[in-house]
Amino acid sequence: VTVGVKRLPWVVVGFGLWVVLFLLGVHALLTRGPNLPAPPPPVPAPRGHLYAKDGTPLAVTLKEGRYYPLGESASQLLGFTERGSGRGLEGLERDLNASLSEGRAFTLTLDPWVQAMAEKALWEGLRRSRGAFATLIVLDREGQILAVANGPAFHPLAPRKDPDQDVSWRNHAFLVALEPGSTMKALTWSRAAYANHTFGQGFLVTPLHLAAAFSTLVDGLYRAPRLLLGQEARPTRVFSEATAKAVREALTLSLAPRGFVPGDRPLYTVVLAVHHPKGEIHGSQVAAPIFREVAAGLLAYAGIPPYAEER
Amino acid sequence: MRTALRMGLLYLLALLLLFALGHRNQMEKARLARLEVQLEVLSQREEALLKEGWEAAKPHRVLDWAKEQGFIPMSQGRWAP
Repeated sequence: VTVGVKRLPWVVVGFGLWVVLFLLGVHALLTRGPNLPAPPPPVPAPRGHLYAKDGTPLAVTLKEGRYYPLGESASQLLGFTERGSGRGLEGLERDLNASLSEGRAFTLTLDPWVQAMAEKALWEGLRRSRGAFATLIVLDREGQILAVANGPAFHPLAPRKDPDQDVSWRNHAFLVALEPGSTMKALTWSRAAYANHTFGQGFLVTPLHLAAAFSTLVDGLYRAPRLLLGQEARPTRVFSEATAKAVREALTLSLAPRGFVPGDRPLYTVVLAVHHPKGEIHGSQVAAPIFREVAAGLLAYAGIPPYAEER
Repeated sequence: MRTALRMGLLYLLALLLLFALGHRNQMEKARLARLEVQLEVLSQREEALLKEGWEAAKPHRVLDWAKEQGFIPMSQGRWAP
């Protein structure tokens, strides 16, 4: 045997040694392999953005977190998110939370210019009337929501106060019911509404409902108000076009000659409510100046020149 | 002896190659780090500029400016006494 070993060339011995060491290494790797750190979890998609109709960003995700480029404008409608987790706590941030957290973006029917005009008039009017809170909605002919203004102003990134004491974060337009009172007379005139005798003055609707009801005076069709661009309207006829026209004419000529413009071709529906005003409490003193300012702005925005009273 | 010299030269060449590769690697890493810092600075600047732009073009701000300049909606005349 020793002769045989001596005969073996050194190369073969070396190779054999190498194979043995190699196999030992493979064995060691297989039995007690290195402990690699776990791969990092996949980065979640940044929270989706919200845009206005004209593409103005309303809520965006920046490096430091959620940011609202318009600041106090439409803040009650948009809502806000939890600081740490980014979860939506109020408003659209809460309602669309599931889709937004998957990175989906939404475009609203809001018009930031109409929104700003409405808010400026509303906040100024609220300050004048020293009311508790106020709300204003603007719909267009198609039932798209152009503005949802709420007062007092609320900044979504400012430190929050006690939510029970301070109601400025609340979207009163969609939440707080009000008694429509005599504003409903315009609608109860129509034969259809008289027929089922359900309309009276002792019921509650939100400003959004009232706006939707009033915009049936455009052409007698009810369109559910829409906030997301691309939602299709499914109009239902509630009274005839002739009735709608007659009611509009009556409003234009006799009842509210200075509060229903342009009566011949309605463009926008504005619903406005000021809660608990102090001092003057009548609509003509509290709400009318606010409406006038908003309507003036809207007509200018739509490019409709003023006409003489006795045309 | 000649063989030993040749092998030694080859060894030195391989060492040189390794050194060059390592150096290149380190330079690339440093450059990447610099670029990342630059990217961070630029994206912060981009966000700051975006915020500034949004702030400047806020409808509320524009309407305040228009009021200051005396631009009143012509339709106010409709309700003039």
